[in-house]
Amino acid sequence: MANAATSATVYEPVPYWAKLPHPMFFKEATSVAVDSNDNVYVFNRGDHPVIVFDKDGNFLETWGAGEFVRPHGITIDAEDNLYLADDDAHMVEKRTKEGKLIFRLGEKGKAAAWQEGDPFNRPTNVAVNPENGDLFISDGYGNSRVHKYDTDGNYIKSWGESGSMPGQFSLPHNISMNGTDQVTVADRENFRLQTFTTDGEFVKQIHMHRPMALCTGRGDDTNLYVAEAAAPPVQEGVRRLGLRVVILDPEGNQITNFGNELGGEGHDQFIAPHAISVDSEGSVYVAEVSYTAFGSNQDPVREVTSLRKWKRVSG
Amino acid sequence: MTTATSQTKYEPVAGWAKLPMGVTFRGDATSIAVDSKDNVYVFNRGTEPIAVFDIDGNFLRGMGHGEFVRPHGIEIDADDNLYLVDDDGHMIQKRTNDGELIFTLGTKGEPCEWQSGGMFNRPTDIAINPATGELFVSDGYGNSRIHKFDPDGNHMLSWGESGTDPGQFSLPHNISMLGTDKVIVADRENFRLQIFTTDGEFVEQIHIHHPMSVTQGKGDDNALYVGEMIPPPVQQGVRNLGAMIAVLSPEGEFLQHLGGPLPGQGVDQFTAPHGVSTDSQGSVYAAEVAWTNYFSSAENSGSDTPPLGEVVSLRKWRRV
Repeated sequence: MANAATSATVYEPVPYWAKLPHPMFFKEATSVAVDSNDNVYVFNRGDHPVIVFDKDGNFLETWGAGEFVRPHGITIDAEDNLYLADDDAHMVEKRTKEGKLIFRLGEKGKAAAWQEGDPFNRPTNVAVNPENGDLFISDGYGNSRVHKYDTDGNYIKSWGESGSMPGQFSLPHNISMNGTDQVTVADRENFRLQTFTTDGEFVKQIHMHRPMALCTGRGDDTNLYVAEAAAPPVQEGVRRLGLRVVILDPEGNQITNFGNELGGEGHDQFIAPHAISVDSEGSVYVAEVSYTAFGSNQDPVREVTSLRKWKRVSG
Repeated sequence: MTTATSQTKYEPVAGWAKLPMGVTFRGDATSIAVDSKDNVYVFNRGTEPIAVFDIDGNFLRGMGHGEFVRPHGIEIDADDNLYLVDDDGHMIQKRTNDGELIFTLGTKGEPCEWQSGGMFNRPTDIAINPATGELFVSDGYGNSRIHKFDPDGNHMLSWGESGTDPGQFSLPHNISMLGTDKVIVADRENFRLQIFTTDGEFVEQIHIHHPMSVTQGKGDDNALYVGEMIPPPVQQGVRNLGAMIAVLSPEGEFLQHLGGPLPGQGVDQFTAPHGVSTDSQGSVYAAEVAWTNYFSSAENSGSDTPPLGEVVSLRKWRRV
């Protein structure tokens, strides 16, 4: 296991990391998670919703064809089970790493009332407490809520409402454990992270640039890895506005960051970072919604890079 | 007037500004300032770019017809001189209270290079140090910069660049003095206020929802009044997200919100509080870019038929 990153840690992009068997494609990767063997699970919007790679980017397997509406978030627990958040299906599924369904939260295709607080209206992501298996679900595009379930999927509680004050959300887009007693939420359109106790008590907020995704490191690496989205259209083309990965200590102090000052298709650039995960070597994977943000606006439309690996090379 | 607290009560004043037939704010009120006699100056994109009202909203006079490209920000100094920020004119004018030109900063219609840090590319607002008369200009839509001038308009210093770290900006949209030794910037697309010494040293940041405008109260009222913009389109229609005025202590502690929970034309709502000011009685004025907002709203986007009359773009909330 890698030790926690410091300001001296150096990351390098790994060009062409994922090797996709022809003609498999992502359309866009949307989300990524790494299991205990450092295999990498990519939940994507192509014809093969879950594609698994080894840490060198060699294809291992795929499953889930035809079983999802719109992949959004993937998380792996300590036993290598998967949690798949499908926003337009309004559901979260727990599956084995081979893809066998264990349970489903929510009713596939059936949304709760918009912004009423009940599970789910376009849920975005899941965090799993490594200590007791409790689940925390960020919900989402049509709600302003975090829902808590026990490890068997029994509902425990929910918290949050729309707004910009502490404990309120404007598009809770991603969620991660922060140790075993706190969860941190990427409160995307409020430009902040919010940290809560596992009982939903507000602890603190951390100002960020439009945080899309976050995760913690593995093992002793308790840092937070945050992917920041681009600025709104009024600031298009301006340098140093999001489109980078920021590494924070557990208290929210910035340690380091990486990514080009401008977005783009280059190996050291991001287009629309949407999910983030870290392997046992401290290398960072970023899945991007780069078709939605960029490829779909091109003439002709085309797939653009939506999965990046940045290898931790020193420090 | 004592400083505002979480208990201070405000009530909206319906139909405050009385516009003589033929005078209109059509195209946005944009910004507002109050002079030493509690007269209210509205820098707007209508027929009389500088429209002046008394404290009861009676129209006193109009000035500047045809002399501005796109009004954006207005401020008044201790001697009741006016400072007018014209973003598409890429200039700031200092004028007497009667509208006579004293000096112009920048060259009308000539921007510096986009994001170069020069002067100016669509400047947004100005603050004046009451102790020294020094000027601080936020710049703006095409720059990421604060420029400091002496009282005669000589350039002294500039700071800032684009970005999200402390001291960097993503659309510095409004600026105010904070006492006489600090300035506070509405760093709009960074969802924060940033405080600097008058020498440009970063002091602290205050996280807040999409701040468009910021001002400090007058006299003993040292509270901050911050106009919050609506959220991006993805969150349109969701409650309690901007379109409010936040009242903060000078240390940045939240005291209360005026308006909400949704943007709208109602007497107790806001749509786009783009300029905010207070008078000696602690009442709050907001000038809104309500017309711009009207055409960017989901129900009216793409519309080329504007409403026949006014949309509300000027509000007064009386301190009661």
